Amino acid sequence: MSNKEFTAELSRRLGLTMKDTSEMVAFLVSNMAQELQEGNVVAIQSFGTFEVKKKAERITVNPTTKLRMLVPPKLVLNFKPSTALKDKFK
Amino acid sequence: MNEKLNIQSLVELLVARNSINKKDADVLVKEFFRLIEESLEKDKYVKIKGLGTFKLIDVDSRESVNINTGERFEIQEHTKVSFVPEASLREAINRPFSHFETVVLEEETETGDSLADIISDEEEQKDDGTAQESAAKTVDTDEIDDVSSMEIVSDSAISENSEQQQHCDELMIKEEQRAVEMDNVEEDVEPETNDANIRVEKDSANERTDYTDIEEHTDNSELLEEVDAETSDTSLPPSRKNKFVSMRYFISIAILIILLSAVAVIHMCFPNLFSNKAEILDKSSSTKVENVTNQVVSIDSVALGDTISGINKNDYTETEASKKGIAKQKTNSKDANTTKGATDNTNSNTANVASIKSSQKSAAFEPDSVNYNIVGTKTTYTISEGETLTRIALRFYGTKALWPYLVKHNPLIIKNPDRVPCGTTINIPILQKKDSVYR
Repeated sequence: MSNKEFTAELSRRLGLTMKDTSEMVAFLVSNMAQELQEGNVVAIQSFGTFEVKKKAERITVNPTTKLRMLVPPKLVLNFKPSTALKDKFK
Repeated sequence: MNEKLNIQSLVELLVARNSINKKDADVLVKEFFRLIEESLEKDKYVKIKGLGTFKLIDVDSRESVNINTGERFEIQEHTKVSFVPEASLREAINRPFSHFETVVLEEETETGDSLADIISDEEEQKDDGTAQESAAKTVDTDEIDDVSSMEIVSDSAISENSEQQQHCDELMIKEEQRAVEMDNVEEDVEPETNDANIRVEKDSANERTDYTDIEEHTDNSELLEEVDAETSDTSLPPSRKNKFVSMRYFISIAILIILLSAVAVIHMCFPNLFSNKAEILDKSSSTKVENVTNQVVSIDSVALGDTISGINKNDYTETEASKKGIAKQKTNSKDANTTKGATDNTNSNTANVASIKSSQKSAAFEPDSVNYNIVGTKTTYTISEGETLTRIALRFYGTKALWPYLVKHNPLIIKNPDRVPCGTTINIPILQKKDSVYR
């Protein structure tokens, strides 16, 4: 389901215009993103948790060129589905 | 930082930041996630702009071994929920580390952390990470906090880090040696950022005085202690931090020594940087350098003569009798090694020359041989060791630029202006400016 379809369905359920719902969704998502950037954890009951995790730097070997590369450390966004969700799809 | 947000907090944020009324916001958030769930079920794929993509991925069954009992069992096929963040969000979250790039590693030639050590360190860290996720969470968030507050710093930290493993710097050797000494090596953002913090401050400190170096260093260690305190409850051993701290000390001390030696050298060459001009003028005769050649005459008598002689530049005949000169050198014979009987006088003399030169630096020095007429011989002068025609011109005429006249007036004596042996007696011409009377 693409973004458009999602927004359309959401607007239908909320009884709002597409424009309004897309705007609200954008607000919601940007708020979440902002909190995540500050390092907070977003946990949604029966859905899952969004978390920022740090990945350490590591040495890898490019299999084709055989060069040893140093991958720098980074912060990644991680989603962990809740058990309810996992069971639902099992 | 470290906060756990739920649906309610998201609702509150919507109300506060985006002025949506609470009821609507509440309905929105709840329906939002419910819809994701349902769409995922329906389409197995949901893409949300600004967030990312949720997918259902089918996993086939595979064989596995029960860790405790060792007996084999089968992991059933199942469907897992996957989330891939959108590129812009990924970038935004990684902003503290955004300047890092993956680089090619050259062969490790250094003693210190061998590849095996590094890899084992990383594995060790991974084990720590998986084993203590909750602790790691707090650690990570702590680190993220520090990281976000030290953005620029972390860049240099990581670049320094990759430098370690790539280049054979002397400093890096020290650091790695320290690393080897310490048993617990833990790779961590925090020590790296601290490291970088100290390094950045250190880099800027290179340009400051020694005192500030020390000051900053104590600041760094204080900062370290603060950060240490923050994460003292975590499982991170401070050994790595200590490593970096002690390396910082080495670096700062090395910088100190370099600065001090530079200052010493300068004072050797220009000890009387602040002396008055009177000294400068009469000491200029004894200029130049003791060494360079072996023909050193009684510098002491010369120096004495200098101190006695008046300020007037023209009173050289008395003082220069005992001197011997050498080849003409345009520049820094001032930097004379004071090895040969370096008296304070000679030192001050060279310094004075230097100060004269510096004072006359602004004056353009273009060799001049057309603006003046030679109208006679003023006096004779015996070139002493280390003297050049430019210096003599300076002494007699107040400007270096007139040395060609010395050559012109002594064609038989000065065959090669660049090589006038010391002890040569030359005639000093009287110069008259072509358009005015000069004396």
